[in-house]
Amino acid sequence: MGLAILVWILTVGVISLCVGGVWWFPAPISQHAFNFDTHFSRMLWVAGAIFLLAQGLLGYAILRFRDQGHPATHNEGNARLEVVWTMVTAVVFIGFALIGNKIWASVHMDKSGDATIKIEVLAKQFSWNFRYPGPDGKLGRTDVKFIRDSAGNPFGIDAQDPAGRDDVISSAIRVPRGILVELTLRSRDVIHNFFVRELRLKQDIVPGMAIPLRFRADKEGTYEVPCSELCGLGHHQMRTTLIVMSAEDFQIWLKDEDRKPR
Amino acid sequence: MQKSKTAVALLLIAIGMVFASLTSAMVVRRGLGGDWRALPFTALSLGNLLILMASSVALEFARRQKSSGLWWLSCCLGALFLMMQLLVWRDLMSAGFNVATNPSSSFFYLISGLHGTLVLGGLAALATTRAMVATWYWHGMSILWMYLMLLFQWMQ
Amino acid sequence: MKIFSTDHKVIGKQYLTLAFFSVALGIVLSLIMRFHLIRPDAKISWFATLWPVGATGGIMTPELYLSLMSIHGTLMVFFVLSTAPQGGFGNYFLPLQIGAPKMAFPVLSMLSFWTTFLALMALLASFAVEGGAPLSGWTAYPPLSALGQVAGPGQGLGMDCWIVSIALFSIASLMGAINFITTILDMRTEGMNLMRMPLTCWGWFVTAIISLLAFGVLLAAGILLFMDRNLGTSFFIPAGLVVSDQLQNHSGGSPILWQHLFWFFGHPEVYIAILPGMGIVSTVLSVFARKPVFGYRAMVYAMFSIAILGFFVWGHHMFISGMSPYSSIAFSLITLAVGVPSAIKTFNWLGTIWGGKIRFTTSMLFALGFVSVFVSGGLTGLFLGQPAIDLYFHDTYFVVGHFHMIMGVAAIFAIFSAMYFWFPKMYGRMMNDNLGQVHFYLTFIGVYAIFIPMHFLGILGAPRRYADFKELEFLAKSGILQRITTYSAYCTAAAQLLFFGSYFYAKWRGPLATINPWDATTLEWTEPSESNVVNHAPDVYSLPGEEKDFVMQSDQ
Repeated sequence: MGLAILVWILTVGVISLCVGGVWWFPAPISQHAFNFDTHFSRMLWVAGAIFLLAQGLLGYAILRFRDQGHPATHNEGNARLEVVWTMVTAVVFIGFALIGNKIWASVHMDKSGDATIKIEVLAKQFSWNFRYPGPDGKLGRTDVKFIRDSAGNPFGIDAQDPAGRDDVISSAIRVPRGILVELTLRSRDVIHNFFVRELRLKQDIVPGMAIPLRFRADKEGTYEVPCSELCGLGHHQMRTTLIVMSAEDFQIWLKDEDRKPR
Repeated sequence: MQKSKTAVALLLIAIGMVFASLTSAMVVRRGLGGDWRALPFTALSLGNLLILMASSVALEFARRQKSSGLWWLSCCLGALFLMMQLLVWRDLMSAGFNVATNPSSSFFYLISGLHGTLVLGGLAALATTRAMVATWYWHGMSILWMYLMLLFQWMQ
Repeated sequence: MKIFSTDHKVIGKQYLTLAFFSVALGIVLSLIMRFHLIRPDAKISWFATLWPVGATGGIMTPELYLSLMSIHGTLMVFFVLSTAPQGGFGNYFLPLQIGAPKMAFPVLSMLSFWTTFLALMALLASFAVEGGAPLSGWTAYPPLSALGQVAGPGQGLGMDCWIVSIALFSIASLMGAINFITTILDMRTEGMNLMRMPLTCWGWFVTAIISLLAFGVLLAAGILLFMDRNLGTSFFIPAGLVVSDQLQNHSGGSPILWQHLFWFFGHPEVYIAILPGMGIVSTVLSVFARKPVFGYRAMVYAMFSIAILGFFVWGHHMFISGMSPYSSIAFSLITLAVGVPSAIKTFNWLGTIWGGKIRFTTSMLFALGFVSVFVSGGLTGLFLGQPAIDLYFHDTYFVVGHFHMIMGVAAIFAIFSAMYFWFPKMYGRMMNDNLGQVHFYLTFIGVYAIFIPMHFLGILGAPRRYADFKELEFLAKSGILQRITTYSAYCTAAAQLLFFGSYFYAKWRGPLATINPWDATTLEWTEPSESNVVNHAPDVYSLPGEEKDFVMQSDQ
């Protein structure tokens, strides 16, 4: 009896925590993030209804059918009921998967539009480096044998390649607002992960692979990027920031960086 | 006995899963890039396959005719197979293929080593029991090696 | 009592003892981690005594935190959740419930237990070797797990201990699986056809089939990883890695290959943990609601559907791993499809108690609690099974909350339910029901208080496997969630002392039990001298026109 009430209290508690939204997502800063939030709340409504129904019925059954001296009914099942609830859950669950896949496809399969800004991301234990092509628009050739962290060359840019001389290297990622950006994610040692909460985007960075990730951020600001795949003892300190700037400020920054002596 | 038949069938399934996962690992690893090198297989390894299959055939006749002599012949052929496998390894090493040389040789040493260990276990079983299920296991090892040799050829 | 006993009852108790030891240690490790998360700078002198290197001066290093986390996960997943329900209760009660005099291969049972024991010793040895226990988690993703000491302390010998432990555990599980399947197929007593087996036996049967197919894959993956580490091969390690300024001498391997192999095992492993629990809960609900299981056949088919589909969903652990985005969609569809048989089971559990005459024993409370927790943990799976939503939630505390609820807590509730249910049979004495009720309520409230806040941390974006959250500004205001979790963990852990106290008291001093204290129907509750011929289904309760409200399987 107490259990029924407890189950109900916990159910209402969980639901009100969701509705209250004290601990919730940060505001979205891209169309994708906005779509994500819409889909998430749709999911939440349905999952919440199932949650309420299932826990509610559990509590009701506990209360209603507690031993009060009455005989139990003898009931071995109901084939029709089984078929009905199997079909209903199948349709609801699979339906969700289908709806959600649109959002997934828009991130990973939509190749429309040219990304004018291309940034190479290099993750390593336990820091981030971002490389922009300079005014020539080309990234310089790299080789592991040129890697010198102490000399400011974590990418291993080949000094002989003229295309590499104007490359800009930054420890935080800056992008212009409203412009499609394409990242190429690389790791030098173990698996890391690039995650921006406000973009609702997350991608593992796997050594030996160059993984593309495209996004368009629409709101200026500074956003945290925590490494989100266990990468060793400094995992919790592997953090950088994404800075979304106006297109003009971005160009000014890029020029300034390029002029800095290396 | 029924339960030992069931158990050996299950054991073969479990062993099959180990080699199935190694097969898929091999296919994936080979498809990753250009560093896969063909192994120099000689007539020796083909002949060795024939020895193991002959051992299986001998064992089947031994079981049907309840012939102790054939049973021991099968065991001897099995032991010969294991020794020849070592020769195959020696040839590979002298051709410059060690465990870490190339993924192709890494897989070969691992898979033939695992298979050899299982054959050794089967040999111990054949030496101690005349049970029918021991012959099942032994045939299983022969068929497995036949499959693995095909796999290695295909993965060249 | 012989140590190397071949008696299935002794082996069952040995497995349970091993699981109880592991769960106690696993809880202690989690308490230390929870403490560290709310007080990362605390100086604790006995930390320094226990770990002179990992906690010099009493302040815990991140590598120590991560090694505790790795061992906590490995202990709980393998040595508790895969051991107690199957090796423990399965060995003890499977032969009794199907009317077999013993397991099919008693010596194999014994070997399987002692191999598991060796596996546990190998795991614990990792704390003692140079560098300490591994810090790459229970999933051991390469290259972190493959590069050796250079990737971090604990990745040297400690990691090798871990691989040896997992390989031994796989072999032990394969032995157990062969034994269980053979026993069920060939050792059933007269009249005990498959569809008259209690659902507990179906749970053990399906779990054994999954183990048979899954553990070989883990074994193979473990061997490959061991070779990459110690023989210089390159299965999982790509070329050109520079770790701590050292160029690694490997070429061409793929870290994702490990993830495929690992999760091909790892997802079915989840069902290895939960399916025996589903069987136990189905039985217990039916006994104490005095009703037959609602839709017995549907329950059996649902278990098989879960097992089969469970082998094709491993990719949902890898949506953002860099694998093809197209395969993510296929994995996602199959994953949500697995939700269907799980939902069927939930409906049938509700159907089983509906219209019943419920007796609230401690065992029943835990079974009802299981249903509640299973629903709560299962629904979050609907979110995580979609790649679109995983784009945000992968590797956050949302995932931690989800799998602890559905896999950890649900399975543990089933273990408790089974323990309270079968205790009279195992020890001939009764556990105290009042203590049991208190234990249940504290635990039930406790697990919600621990794991619900984790979901909200996940919504905030908190990544899992962080030794502390000081650096992340967006979590600055979430300290309250961390504190609720930690304090709830303390209280819930303390409540488990009640269980252990009650268990040992009842074992030696509890009131003597009658032969069938719960008026249950299955064969383990018959007098050993009675005939074992089975004439009835396992769940004949409240048959109209009968004097007693239950008919035992062996009744005429």
